[in-house]
Formats: sequence, C-alpha cells, structure tokens
Amino acid sequence: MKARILLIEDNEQNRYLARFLLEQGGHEVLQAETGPLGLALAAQTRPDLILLDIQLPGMDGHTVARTLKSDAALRSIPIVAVTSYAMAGDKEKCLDAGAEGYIEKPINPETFLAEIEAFLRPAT
Amino acid sequence: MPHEQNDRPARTRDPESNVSSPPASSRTQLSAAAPLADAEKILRNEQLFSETLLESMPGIMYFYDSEGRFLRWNRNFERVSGYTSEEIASMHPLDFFSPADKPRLQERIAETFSKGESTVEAPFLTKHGALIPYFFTGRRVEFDGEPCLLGIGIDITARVEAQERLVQSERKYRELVEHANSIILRWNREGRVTFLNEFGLRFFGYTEEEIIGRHVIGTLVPETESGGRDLETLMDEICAAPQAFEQNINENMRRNGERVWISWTNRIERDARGEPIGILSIGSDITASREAEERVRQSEAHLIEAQRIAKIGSWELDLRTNRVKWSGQTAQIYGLRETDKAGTFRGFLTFVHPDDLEELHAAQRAALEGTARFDIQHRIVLRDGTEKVVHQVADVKRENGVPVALAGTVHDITDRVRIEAERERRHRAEAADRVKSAFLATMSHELRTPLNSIIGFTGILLQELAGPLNAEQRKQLEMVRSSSRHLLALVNDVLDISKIEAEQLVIAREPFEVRRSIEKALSLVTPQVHEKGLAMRIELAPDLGKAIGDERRFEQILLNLLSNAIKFTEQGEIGLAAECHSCDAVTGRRALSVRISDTGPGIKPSDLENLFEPFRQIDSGLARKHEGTGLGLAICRRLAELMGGRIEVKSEWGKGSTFGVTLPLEVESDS
Repeated sequence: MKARILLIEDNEQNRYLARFLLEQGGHEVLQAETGPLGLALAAQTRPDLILLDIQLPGMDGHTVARTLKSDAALRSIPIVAVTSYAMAGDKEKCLDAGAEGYIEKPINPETFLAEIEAFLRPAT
Repeated sequence: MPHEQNDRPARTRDPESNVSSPPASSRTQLSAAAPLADAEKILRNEQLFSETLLESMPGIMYFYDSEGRFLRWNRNFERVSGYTSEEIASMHPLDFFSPADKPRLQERIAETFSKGESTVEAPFLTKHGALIPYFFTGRRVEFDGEPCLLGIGIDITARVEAQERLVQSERKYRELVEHANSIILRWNREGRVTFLNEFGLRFFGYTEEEIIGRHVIGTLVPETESGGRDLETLMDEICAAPQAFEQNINENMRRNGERVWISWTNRIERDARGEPIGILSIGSDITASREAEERVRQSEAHLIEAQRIAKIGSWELDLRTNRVKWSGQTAQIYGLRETDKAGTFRGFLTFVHPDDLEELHAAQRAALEGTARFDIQHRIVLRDGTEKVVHQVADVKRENGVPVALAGTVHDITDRVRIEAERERRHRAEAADRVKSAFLATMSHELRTPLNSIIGFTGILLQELAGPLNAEQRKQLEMVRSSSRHLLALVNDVLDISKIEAEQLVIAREPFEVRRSIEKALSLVTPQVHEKGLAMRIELAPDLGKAIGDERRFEQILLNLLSNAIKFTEQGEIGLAAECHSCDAVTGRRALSVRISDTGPGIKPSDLENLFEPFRQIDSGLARKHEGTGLGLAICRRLAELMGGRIEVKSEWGKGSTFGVTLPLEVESDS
C-alpha cells in the first residue's frame, strides 16, 4: 500500500532521513519546514498520514496538531508526533493535542518504517 | 346704757397725768366705803394708780358698750390710731378696721359678748390709712349692769414681719430646692426616698406620689450598676464612713431604665442625739461629660490598639530641646518598657543600625530644609541585639516658618521585609526552575536532533539501503553506531539526572504488574547474556502482584542493574530474584524486593560508600573496558527513592555483587 505522507520537520537532515526511509517503503513524501506551511500543504494535498515534529520553531507541533484536528476536512488524517523525549508528560501532551501516534527521537532506522505504516489506515 | 356724749367722762389732758379720767361712776364706787377726806385721797391715789397702769401698758386699751360706743381708752389708742379723743368718742370700733376685715371683727366682737372673751389678729386701720398688725383680746365686762367690752390690742408688727420673713425665706428656699438645676434627694436610714425635688422628679421621670417612700435601689439606683458594684450595702457604708461618701459618682437609673451617671454630694442628717436618720444628696447629671470622657478614653484606647495591631508607633522630636516623646507602641518596637515615653534624640539614634545612620541624618536634613519628605526605611538594633526593619515617615512642624518639631510614625516592617525577601527568593527560584526546565528541554532537543541523523543514517548505511558495504566500511560504521548509541545513553542519563536534580522529573505512582516489567527487562538483556556465555538464574515468586510506582522507571532501574551485572561479569552467572515481603524491614509495609546478583569482581568496601553518587564510576582496573556514563546508579537510586523505594548493595571483593531494589507494593494486592 503506497501512501502519501506529509512530513513536517524543520531540520533538513532529519527530513532527508525520514523521507529516505519512507520512500524505501514506496510512499510519496511531501515536506514542510514549518507548521503553517505544513497546514497549507495538508489542506492542499490531503495526505494519508502526517509525520509531525513537535519542536518546531514558531508554531509548535501541538498547535499544528490541534489545528488539524479542528478542521473537519483534515480531522481524519492520522498524525504521528515525533519528539525528542525530554520532559515527563510529553507523550500525553502530544496525544492530548490530537496525535494518534508518538515516536521518540532518535528514531530507530531499522523499525521506523514499520512503526509509521502501522498508523496508516487500511486501503479503501 | 344710754349716755349723752357730753355726760361721758371725756378724757381730759392733765398736766400731772397722761391718763384720761376714769368714768364718774367708777370713782363713785371706789370711794363709797371711806371717810370723805381720806376717801378722796384714797380715791385720788387709786385713780392715779389705775390711770398710770392703763397708760403704761404697751398696747392700746379701750372699753366700749354693746352698742359700740367707746366709754374709755388709753392714750396709746389715740396715738396709734391718730384720732383725737373727740373723734374716738364719736367712732365705732369697726371704724378701725379695713372693710375686708370688718365681718371677721364683727364676729369676734359678738363672740366676746356672747362667750365672755375672744381674740383676733387683724390690721389696725389708722386715721392716716396705715394698717398695723395687732393682736386683740376682748373680754366682756359688766359695767353699770350693762355688758361692755374691754379690749387690749398689742402691736404684732415685729412678729408678723418675722413670720413673713420666715415665709419668704422658706419660699425662697423651697423655690431654690424645687427649681434648682440639681437633683436634691433625701432618703432615710432604710434607704427610702423621703424627698425629691421637682428637678429630680423630672430627671428621674417620677411623680412625687410614685417615688416618696420607695426604696432607692430598684428605683433611682440599679440593683447592680454596670460596674458590677453591689449597692445594697451602700447605705451602711455611707453611714460607717461618711467622709468617703461626701463626694461620689454613681451610676443611677431613670424610670425608663436608662442608665445615667450622677455626681453626688452627700451629707448625713442626724437626730438630736447624733444618730444618722437620713442622707441629703445633691446630684448633677454628668452622663454627657462622662460619655465624652469615655469617648476620649476609647478613642485613645483605639489609637493605642490601632498602633499595636498595625505595629505603628508615633514619636515627636522637639527640635529646640532635642528630646523625643514616643508612644507605647514605639517603645514596644524599640524593645523599651512601655513606661519609657521620652528621651534624648541622641539616645534614640543609638538604636539605628550604624550603616543606616548617615541615610537617616540625610533624610532629616532634607526634611528640615523642605527638599524632601522624611520617609525612610532603615534597620534598628535593639538592646538585646535583635535587628528590625522600620519604616519612618515624619512631617516637620513649623512656627513662623521655623522648624520646631519633627513628628512621625514608626512602622515595624520586619515581618513584611522578611516575607518580601522570602517571596523574592521564591520567585527567583521559580524563575530559575523555569529557566532550567526550558534549558533541559532545549538541550534535549538540540542534542538529539543531530544524534537522530547520525544514528539514523548509520543505520541506513548498515542496512545497506543506500548500497553495499565492504567489511572495513561495515566495521567502521558499526563503531560510529556504537559511539552514537553511547552518546545517546550519555545524553539520556545527563538529562535524567539533571531533571531529577531540578525536580523536573515527574514520577508516576501507579500500580503496575511487576512480573510483566521484569520479564520485559530480562528479554532486553538476554541476548547480551548469551553473547557473553553467562548463565542466567531467575527466581520469581508466584505472588508478585502489583507494585506502586512508575513502570517505565522501574524497568529503567532493572535494565541498568542488569546491564551493569552483565558488563562487569566475564564468567559465571547473572541472577534475578523477586519476592514479596509482607512487612518491609524499613517501612513496615508490604514491599517488593528484587535482587540482581552477579559473579563479577565485586566492589571494594571503600568504593561502596560513594557508589550511588553521580560520576563515581569505580576505579576497578576493569573500568576502562566497561563504558558507562557514571550516572546509572545515581539515577537508579534517585528513581527508586522517588517511587518510595530504595536500592541497596552487598558486595564482597572478588566474589561479585548483589543489588537489591525495594518498592512498595499495592496494599490490597494478594495474588
């Protein structure tokens, strides 16, 4: 199952890393550097999944997640939050903001793809 | 007895005698028994005697018949009445009285004739119209067989006037008493009211009938005054020590129950034998002045109270004498006796903290020059060494523009300053915590972001997703991966310990399945155990149940201890034993005990002490071989403690070590 995945991540190398691994699975990867750009791209392209970095400059990942979940047209798109596990309650905050999944940085390149694909809805 | 006026013995002036001639018939009678010559002499003497007697009488004398015709009168009668003897001879007795008195006189005259005698007091009307008070006595006398009236009148002017004066005086006195603006009260030994003047009646609200005879207590005097003094014995007390009660102030009561304060002057009235029979009390209502006094007293008390509560004292410096007066509260603040109320300014200044003295002087100068208000906060040092902070505000008092005094308040703000400092410290600490927290989050992110790339791309390359690797490339990339994993472990540990130190680590205290956690940790280390060819001995009690704590952190502890055991053990076995204690040796409660043992080199007793301190990786000679952050055990101990448990170690050098983790168990769990 090939999916369209929107990657919202400010670090270029990490974007490349994630895109590389996702493309290994044959998925189409759209990239956005900031929250607002990601929201625009999501509205425009209706991806199958959004991979969302939480520590974004400017609008943070929690806000992006809440904005996506408050938009009826985008609400159904699963969000997987990626965060540098830092403080207690980070995971809860991501889930509260509406993320379906949560992956800690640094990612495990051996399992990353499988972890992401688990959140893809079965093909219709 | 009819007489011609001419026949009547008209009183004739006689050079030798002032007496009118007696009636002829009287003379005839008197001389009847004597020889003529002697008889005449005797008669003459007798006449002289009776005339002398008549004329020497102090009053007036008269004699008239039942028709009111004057037969005889003395000279006084003429003198007092102002009429001549001729005039009198033709007048009627009632002519000597004013018309208003005539009926009364008529009555008395008739009474004299009918009963023989009578008296009457009446003003005697003279020819000149004067009315002179007279007391008359009348007696019926038979004369020539005819009833006549012999009257004597005595001038009672002096008596009447005295009486009048008495009446006047009594009236004046009465008026004084009645209308005095004072309460005048007389009460007897039994305490009953015998007199209360008009003013008193009005004041207390009684009528005379209502109060006379009543006991003062319960009427004018409350049963107990609000001061609580029992008044029943007051009377006895007054009689026993009258001087003490000459002046007193009492709480009294009006008829409507209203309480009033009266200042009394009391005087004991005694009978002829000197026994007290009553008390005369004169009182003035001083309720208003007393209330005013009370208000002043209260307002002063309020001021003192307000100063006490607010911890604000007041003071005044007289610039001419350089003396200071201060309030009780100021004394309190400065640790002085409340009775110390004044002193020299120099003495006052000795309390000022030496470092603040210059500032105080400057503030005083500025205030006197009028450039700034005296408003200063400084420290004082009490005699006992206590240091306080006070806030002083003062105004300059001037006379004709010249400063004469500095009057101010002193506020003890020691507590406030301390609380503010405490608050400030807490705010700073909280701000520091926030900074620390933000720093840790940032560091975490900043360190992991590049690590994410390093680990990620290394993984990709080693997976040969980007193309095949030769053996050397693989070897080197594995070194990169190992180093980056170690760096990640370091980052994680440093962040963990930092978060613990900064109290930023939130630890769950929830029940979790112990067996599942242990099995998970074991599954993670089993490959390494096998890799090193070590044996594994696992003893899990069947009833482990649920422990209280943070599942993830518990697993972190187990992994850390297991990893250490594997790391330091070259041969032999790794053991894990878990059991429940119904009564923990330390807490006395149900506890889970997990022991992880190894057959490694053990720990020297000298190292045991600091084993759990951060960055205290033991120098075992093997250490270099065993990479680690030196933070693992410190983190484990902190985590265990945060979960209400503990970590202990037992080790014998050369024979291996046993680490024990104890965690509280869920109380209701028994399976």
